[in-house]
Amino acid sequence: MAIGQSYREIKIWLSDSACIGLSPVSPELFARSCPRFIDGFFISIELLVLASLFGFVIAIGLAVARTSNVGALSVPAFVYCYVFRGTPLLVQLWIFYFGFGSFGAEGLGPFWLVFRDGYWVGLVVLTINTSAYAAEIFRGGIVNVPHGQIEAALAIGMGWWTKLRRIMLPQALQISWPAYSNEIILLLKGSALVSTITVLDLMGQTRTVFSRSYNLEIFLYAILLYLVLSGSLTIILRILEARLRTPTQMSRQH
Amino acid sequence: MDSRDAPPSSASPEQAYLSVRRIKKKFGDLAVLNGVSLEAPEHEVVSLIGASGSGKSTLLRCINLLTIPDEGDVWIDGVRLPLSDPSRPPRRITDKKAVRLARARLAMVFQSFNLWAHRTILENVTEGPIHVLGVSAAEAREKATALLDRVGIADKRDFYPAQLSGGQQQRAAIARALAMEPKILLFDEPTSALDPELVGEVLKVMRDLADEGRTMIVVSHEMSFVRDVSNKVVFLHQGCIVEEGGPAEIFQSPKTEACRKFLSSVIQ
Ligand SMILES: Nc1ncnc2c1ncn2[C@@H]1O[C@H](COP(=O)(O)OP(=O)(O)OP(=O)(O)O)[C@@H](O)[C@H]1O
Ligand SMILES: [Mg+2]
Repeated sequence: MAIGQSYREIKIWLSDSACIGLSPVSPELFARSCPRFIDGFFISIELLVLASLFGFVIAIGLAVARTSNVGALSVPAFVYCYVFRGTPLLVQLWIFYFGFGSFGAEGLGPFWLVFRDGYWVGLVVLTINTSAYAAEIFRGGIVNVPHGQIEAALAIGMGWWTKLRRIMLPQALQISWPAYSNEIILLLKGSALVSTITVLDLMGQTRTVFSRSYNLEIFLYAILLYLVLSGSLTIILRILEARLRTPTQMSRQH
Repeated sequence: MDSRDAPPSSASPEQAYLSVRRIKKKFGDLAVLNGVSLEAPEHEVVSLIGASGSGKSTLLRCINLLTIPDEGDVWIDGVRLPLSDPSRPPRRITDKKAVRLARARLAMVFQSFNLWAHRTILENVTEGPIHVLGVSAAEAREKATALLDRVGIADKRDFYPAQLSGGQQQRAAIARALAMEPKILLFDEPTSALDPELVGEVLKVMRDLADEGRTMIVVSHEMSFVRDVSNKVVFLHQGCIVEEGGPAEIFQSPKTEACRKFLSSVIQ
């Protein structure tokens, strides 16, 4: 509770400072709806950060299951990835929100707490969706770890878990990070679809503001804010990529 | 009790630390090993020679079960490595823990080094002791540093494998193997992937290991090395041991036509 409280206060403070700071350069239309834009901006960031963190963990598990030679693990993981990669995000959002949501409190029991709120449905669906894509990316990384290095791990006496954790996953992440970064950028853009299930993310707020003014200029501000988001995201992902990378022959120094 | 769990009855006089009994292996229809038995007495160097495709690597890999033999068993220190009954294929490992422990005592050095690319040379050497043997990080680092010094690449400890020459990488791989304090070292053509001028530095390290009385099984095409360091030379031909004996015996008076042909092809 205390954390939620202070987080909310920080958001308000940031929102106020941003709008005040921007006011000298804000066109009138933006200045009027600035708090709304910033609110939406935060919701988009929250969804992105949470979905990508949960999605990452699930994806690693799925990727390991996918590459397992135990059918009871690999087949369900394959089906999960196939279904959630093979259907549009928009359809998934609508099925979860309008479809499952229509069962109501009686039909869903405790799950109703999740399904009645577009925000939580959005978070769950984005997590599922990105985990399916990322699992496929990480699977590619896992199968591309050089076989000789895996044999060296076995030959030294490593068990399944140690080999996976110490040798395979770190290299799989290195290999797949560029593709994974791309997926996260796509997740950011895909997250705008949650505005269709009542979530007031950046796109949701933009639509609200637009429906009052019918001024197309509004979308220009949305675009700028999305660019700020994807730009910062790209920088963060690049920094992580550089940290993951080990020196190659190119940087050979004798 | 499975009768195969009794120690091999036809054990050599000085009970060998490692013994391989009537190993057979097929890949599809290709019979690669046709009932090979081999013994590695302690403190001795056994060299495996033979033409390409004769099954040398497969035999070596059967010893630490990187390849599972279809038939036959491997005995280490009087204990049979736990494999399922060969009459009910496919054969598999029945006790993974026991195999892990056995592998930790058999170090393998590969033709292609197989250092872990995402770890520094020092980390490559400390990885096994820390994460397999459970040695403390400080102790492992100290020992690794000494081993790297011994193989002559102490100054490369913080480099990554891709930043080293082939000869340096192979010496690091040998240090990685030694860090496990193995009872037996298995070498699969450790110099075949190296430029000719780098072969010497690796052979020198191996020669030192032989001199200090390490038990080693070596697959190599470096015949002068084999002749110098081996206590026993084993000639494999089409998956069978057709000749074995002291290096002088094999190199000076090969008994079989196949061995004569092979030797004349590798020694110009
Ligand atoms: N995993 C495998 N699947 C199928 N065939 C294999 C496999 N491993 C080895 N073989 C085949 O078994 C035969 C013996 O291979 P092996 O690697 O043991 O020979 P070798 O004596 O080590 O030869 P080289 O000197 O070329 O290394 C070869 O014909 C090889 O193609
Ligand atoms: Mg070979």
